[in-house]
Amino acid sequence: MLATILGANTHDYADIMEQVWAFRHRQFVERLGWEACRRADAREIDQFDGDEAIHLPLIVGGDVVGYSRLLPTLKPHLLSDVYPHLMDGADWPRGPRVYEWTRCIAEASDKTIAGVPISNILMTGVMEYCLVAGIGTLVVETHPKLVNLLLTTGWDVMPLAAPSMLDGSLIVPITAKPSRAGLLRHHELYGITGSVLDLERAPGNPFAPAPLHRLAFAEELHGHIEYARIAGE
Amino acid sequence: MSDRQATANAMFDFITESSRARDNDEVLACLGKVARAFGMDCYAVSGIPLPGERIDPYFMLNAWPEGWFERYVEENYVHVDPVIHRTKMSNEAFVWSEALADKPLNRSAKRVMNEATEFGMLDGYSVPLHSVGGFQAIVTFGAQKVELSNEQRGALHIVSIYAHNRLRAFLVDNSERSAAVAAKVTPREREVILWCSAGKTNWEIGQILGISEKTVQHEIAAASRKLNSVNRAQLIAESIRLGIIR
Repeated sequence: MLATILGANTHDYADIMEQVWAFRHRQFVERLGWEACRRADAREIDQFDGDEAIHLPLIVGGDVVGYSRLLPTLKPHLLSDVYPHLMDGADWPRGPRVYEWTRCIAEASDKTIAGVPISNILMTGVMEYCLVAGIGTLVVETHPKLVNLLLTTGWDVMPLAAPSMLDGSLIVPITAKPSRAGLLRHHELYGITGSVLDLERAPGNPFAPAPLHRLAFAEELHGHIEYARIAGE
Repeated sequence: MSDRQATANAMFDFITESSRARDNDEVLACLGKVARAFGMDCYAVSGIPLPGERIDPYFMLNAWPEGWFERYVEENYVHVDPVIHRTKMSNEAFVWSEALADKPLNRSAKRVMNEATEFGMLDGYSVPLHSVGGFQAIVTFGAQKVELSNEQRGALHIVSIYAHNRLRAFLVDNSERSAAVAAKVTPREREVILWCSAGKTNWEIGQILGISEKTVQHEIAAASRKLNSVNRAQLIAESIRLGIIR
């Protein structure tokens, strides 16, 4: 399931984080050819992997098989420090509940969790995490094709500028807002039956020390079906 | 105003206006406006039929030149049209003349492309849309000449995504039925469901609303019957789906 590790807590999860850096290097450098991120020690870490980053590794059988990272927009992030030109000088939403979604990838494999492909679990988990944590808006720089995926799976998507060419590929900055109806749409489309978050592994609440709680309609884990918990219980 | 800004504005205007569209004709009008802004003369939105199926039931929207749509359907061109073939193979948007330039076309494929030129579609830009669940669709624009910058291609790609998504929403819209079901839920039941969705127990909800736990149970049971739900999680999920709570 999708674990939630705050940047400030990474030292308590050193083994998972080592897997995360190696996984990112394998996927982004060795598989996708992001040569600028290549590192001699094969650990893909950048200046944004600080205390304020949120790491969402998808873990199956102890192995990291997918990953996403959320960065606070009130601190340096990619749109502010690397690609501000994508915005043509216009502002973009920034605030305590606005995060930038980066480094989203699942390994290319036919692994599943209770019959659902890991890439679908990853996409669903990111929306579920936003709802559970109270993140209201994600800023994403992505290819137009991904706009179709996000829009049709239930995100409230709005482009922020015209697409630009970047390293031979089109990229467009967008906002994507999660909703409970959107999460239900993910569940329906992908055949997901409950929560895909691993909230027990690490504290993942970026706004308070309190633990996070699952949503009332997805309290059980995906794949764990409990029949007939009737209204009166 | 810079070209980039003009491109962005045409895209933003389409998204805003089409989100207010109430039917296919209004989407058609929005799409016509943005197509002209990018120098495209005609356009169509369609699902892609499976081999052996006809395309007519899949057409969502069509502003093709008079006569072309009729001929295309009558001759069942969809299964030999190289633009459709390419759309099924890849989800990269493409300009016809570029994508088909280095492909040897068979006779029937050539015939489709040649006849299209008789209707003023000498070139075009097509956006394949591959959806979750395997459904494939195409948004296609035709013109005498395609002169789109990379940014304009990207913007038109995004316009196509929103156009198709809007039309799909009309197809699956069951808002009347939903409204009828939602209307049967009383304000008190709604209030109880709202607290359920916030993770409160029946006892807690009773305390919050100043009613007995038994009454809370009764409200939940009544609402569950109306929404055809067998447990609490399903009751909350159905309520969100029907827009009773958000």
